[in-house]
Amino acid sequence: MTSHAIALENVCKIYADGDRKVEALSDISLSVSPGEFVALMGPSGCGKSTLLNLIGAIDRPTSGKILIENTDTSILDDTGLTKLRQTKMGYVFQFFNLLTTLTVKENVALPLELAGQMTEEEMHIRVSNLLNQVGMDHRLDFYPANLSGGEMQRVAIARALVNKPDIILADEPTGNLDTENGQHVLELLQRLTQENGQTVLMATHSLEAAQYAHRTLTIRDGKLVDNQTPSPVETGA
Amino acid sequence: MLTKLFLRFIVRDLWRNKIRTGLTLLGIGLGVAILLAINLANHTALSTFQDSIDRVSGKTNLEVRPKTVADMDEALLQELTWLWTLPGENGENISEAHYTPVLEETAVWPGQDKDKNQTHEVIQVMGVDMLADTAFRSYDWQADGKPDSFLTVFEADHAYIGEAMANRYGLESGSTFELFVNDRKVKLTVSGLLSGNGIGGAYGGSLVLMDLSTAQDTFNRAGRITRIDFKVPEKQIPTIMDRLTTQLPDTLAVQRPARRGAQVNKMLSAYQQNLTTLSFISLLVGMFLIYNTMSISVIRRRPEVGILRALGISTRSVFLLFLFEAGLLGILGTLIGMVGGVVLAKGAVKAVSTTIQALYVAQPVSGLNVDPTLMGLAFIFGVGLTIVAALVPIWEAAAVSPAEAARRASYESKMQHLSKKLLWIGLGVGVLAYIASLQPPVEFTMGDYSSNQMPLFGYLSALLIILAGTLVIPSVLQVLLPLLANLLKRTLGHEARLSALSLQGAIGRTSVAVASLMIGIAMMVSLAMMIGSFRETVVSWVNDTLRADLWIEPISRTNNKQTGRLDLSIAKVIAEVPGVAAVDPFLEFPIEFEGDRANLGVGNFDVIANFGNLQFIDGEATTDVFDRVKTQRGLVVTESFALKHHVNKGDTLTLDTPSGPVGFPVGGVYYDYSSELGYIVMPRPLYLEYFDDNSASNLAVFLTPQANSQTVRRTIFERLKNNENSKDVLLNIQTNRELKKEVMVIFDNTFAITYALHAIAIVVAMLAVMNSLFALVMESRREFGILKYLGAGHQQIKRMVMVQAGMLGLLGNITGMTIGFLLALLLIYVINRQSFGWTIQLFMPWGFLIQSFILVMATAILSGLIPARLAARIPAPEVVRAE
Repeated sequence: MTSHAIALENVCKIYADGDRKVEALSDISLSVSPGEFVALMGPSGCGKSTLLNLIGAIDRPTSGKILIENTDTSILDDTGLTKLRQTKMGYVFQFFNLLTTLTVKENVALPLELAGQMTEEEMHIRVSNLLNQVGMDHRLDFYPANLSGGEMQRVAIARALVNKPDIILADEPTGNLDTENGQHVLELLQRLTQENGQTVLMATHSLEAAQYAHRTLTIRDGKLVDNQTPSPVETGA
Repeated sequence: MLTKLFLRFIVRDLWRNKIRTGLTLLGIGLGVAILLAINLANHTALSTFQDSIDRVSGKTNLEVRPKTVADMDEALLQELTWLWTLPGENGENISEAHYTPVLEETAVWPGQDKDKNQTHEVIQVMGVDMLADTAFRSYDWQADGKPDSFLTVFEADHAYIGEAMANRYGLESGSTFELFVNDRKVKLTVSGLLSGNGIGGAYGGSLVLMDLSTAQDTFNRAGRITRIDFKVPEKQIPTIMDRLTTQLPDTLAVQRPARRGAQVNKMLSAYQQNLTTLSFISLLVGMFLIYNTMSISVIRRRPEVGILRALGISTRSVFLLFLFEAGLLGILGTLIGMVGGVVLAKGAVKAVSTTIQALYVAQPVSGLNVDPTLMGLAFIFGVGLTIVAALVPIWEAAAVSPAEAARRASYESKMQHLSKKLLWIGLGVGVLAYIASLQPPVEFTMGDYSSNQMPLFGYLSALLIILAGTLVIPSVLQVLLPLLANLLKRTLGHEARLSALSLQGAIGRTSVAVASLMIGIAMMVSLAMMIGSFRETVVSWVNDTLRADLWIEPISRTNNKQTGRLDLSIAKVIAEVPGVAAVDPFLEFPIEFEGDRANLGVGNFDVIANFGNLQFIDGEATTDVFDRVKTQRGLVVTESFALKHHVNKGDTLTLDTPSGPVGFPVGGVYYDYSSELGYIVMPRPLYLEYFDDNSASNLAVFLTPQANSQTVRRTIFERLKNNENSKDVLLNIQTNRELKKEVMVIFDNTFAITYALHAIAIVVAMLAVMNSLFALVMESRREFGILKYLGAGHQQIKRMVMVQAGMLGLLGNITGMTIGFLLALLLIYVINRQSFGWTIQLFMPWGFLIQSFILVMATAILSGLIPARLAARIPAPEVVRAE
């Protein structure tokens, strides 16, 4: 059996709005290899975020199968899905979504705290190292309100990586940043995930952003219209 | 345009948030309902008394009543014949002045009503000159109740009765019935039924009207009357009053009948004021609830307000929109409250009536007088206070610029900065509260008749304490929440810490929620501490001073000590019973002193000194005080009397006696909790030198150490039965333990309504917690959504909300108990003392405090259940994307 980080088989997602049914995703089948950096492109509202949410075990498909590292998520209960999110997934959002009441280091430590597997000291070391890697170690005790957009996204990347997930899901990570900051963030994301061999699935509608990916998938009106043949994973920048 | 916006922006939102809207309406409704219920009950009581006074007075416009004696000699009437020679109002030679004697007494219904319910209802008995009385009072007969012959009422033991009483006990013309009169049972025959119109409606119809001579015979008061009613031309009243005042002894008062109403009003004012004040508590907590709801409503919709402002809606329109929202909530909540208030008032009337009958006036209060003015006032208060409570958040909504409104958390960041300023203002308000608590009561005039004292500065101090507590809460939370966060992290894990941090991040909303709970708990704690301390003080006083082994009262004696006398000859019979060491025949009756009601007591000081005990406020021994009183021919007074009339030990107290005003030195002031009106107590020999009344209201019997109280009680009953003079005597004989128990039952009954009020205040506070939790969950949707993305499970999110609920409960408990303790000190040492004149020792009701702490925690956590479930179900993608 081929080992995929992510594999989708005929996945559909239909939202019911009263009697009206909206098909957000239609018969999506795809696979992503471990360590691959894949860009998911398409116009706003085409279903990119929905797809990320399904893969990220935030939402369940209406039909079809989603396999994360060969585990069928449809057979997992809430606890199983939660465990999957805690251990396998890291999320980066367009609007950073840092908790305003927590400091930088507390925000980054949050996934570890929720998983509850590490001691305070271990967490402290892991968080400090990561913030050092994203260049935010000088702002450990700052609150998000005191950071720039680029800084917030770097913290968000550190948070997504802190529990060493196998898969990073990034939803328009540069959508709220200027070009320069956007590039910095993507370079960071690419560098860190490659160092750790992590798989990245990034939703974006920016061609510049997509250039950082090994391959691009395009969605339009809920359908996968362009599934480029996976290219060999580049190991260098 | 504004109407459309109101419907779409406000009404639709209220409808969408049904639970929160419902909780808010319930909170306002409860507050208004309590306020209305208490005021309707108070109003019903007062209007019943006033109505009775009006009906009994009829056309009387002047009256002579005993002031410092129990009754007067009817021979006085012969000295009033000069009135017959007064010229008429227009100078004619025919006098238009009339007068008639009255003997007013009370009796007790001895057993069951027609539905077999046990009752000891107090029945008012009036003896009047039946030949002359129709000129004074209105007699209206029930359809079948008119006497066949006017003369039957003059027959022995015949009487008219009120229609309501006849219905209650199944009586009709010609029926016979029995009443407890003093220490005997008398049998009377109904000679006519008076309808509810006119005098028959007085005292709720519980009235027996008989000819004066029949009444005098029935009550064994030959030749005695308790009032002379006058009907004189209005213009001649000043002249007649002057002449009567000069002519009649100082022991009698010449007054307008309305004065009695004013006196009853004044007598009940302290009790009723306190109830009214307590009833405001729920409304106050309700105000916090509305403040809470409106604040959250405004915070939640700041971005929308920003959009509206950006689209050109004026500040004024935004202000009006939210004002209309508050108004709508206020109107709906108040209407619910008004309906609830009328329902609750029926129960409140019963409770108020029980207390008033036990402590003040032996007159039943029934029915409910739904006064439109009070209903209108309740509406104005409910809606008005709702709008007042909402003004700050409304102003907040209207004042923000479009750019600011669209920014998240700008309100909270404002609160973070404001908290230090609020702390200083709060401390300043606290100082003002302390200064207010040191001020004396405020004296004000009630009508034309007398002045009254109200602890207005005490009430102000209470409000300022609450305000100070509310203002310092943000700062207190900023200290406590980080501590709690660390503590919870160690004990309950990281989610618990996150909960604490989330509360800290929303310090504005958290402060409002905690403040609502604080007020509810503070009220509960302060009232419990006050009542508990009062109860313990009374228990200690009862144990120290009620030392008589047996307490003997005539069967007709009621708790308010106004009615029923004992034949003193039975004291002699009892004194000879084996095992009896001493008997103190104590006489007590209400008098008028300096225009106020008080009680005059007459006792055997030798017996009290040897067997009993009084606690004098300066700690002096009873025997020393009584020795001095004996030598100086003085008297003692109770603390409440001393405080009300500014009398101190060593002062001279002037009493009007039949031989003129006499000054008596005050030998001591002692603690007494039996009557807030206060007592003047004189030694019997001294009393008898001036007053001609050698009777007793009750007997305190002290036994020898070997005697058994049950045995002696049996022997007393046997001896009285075997004695020709006392064989028909009916007595209540209570042992010391029974009496003490009864005192405590009366105490607990008196405070029953207070317990109910503070329970409701807590319910309203818990509604505030629930409301706040809903709001917090709604406000934290995005955070919960993010947490789900970061790996938080349903159970973890549920736990977080439950921890938040628990923390609100804990913070409410901490702040509420602190403020409650301060309020309790204020209630005990200032408000209660200024209202009732009682010194209460502070006792900490630890058991209650622990119970209420647990109750609040449990309720808070329980009230978090639904919000926790809601939080766990939040669709993460939607809420995160929406941001």
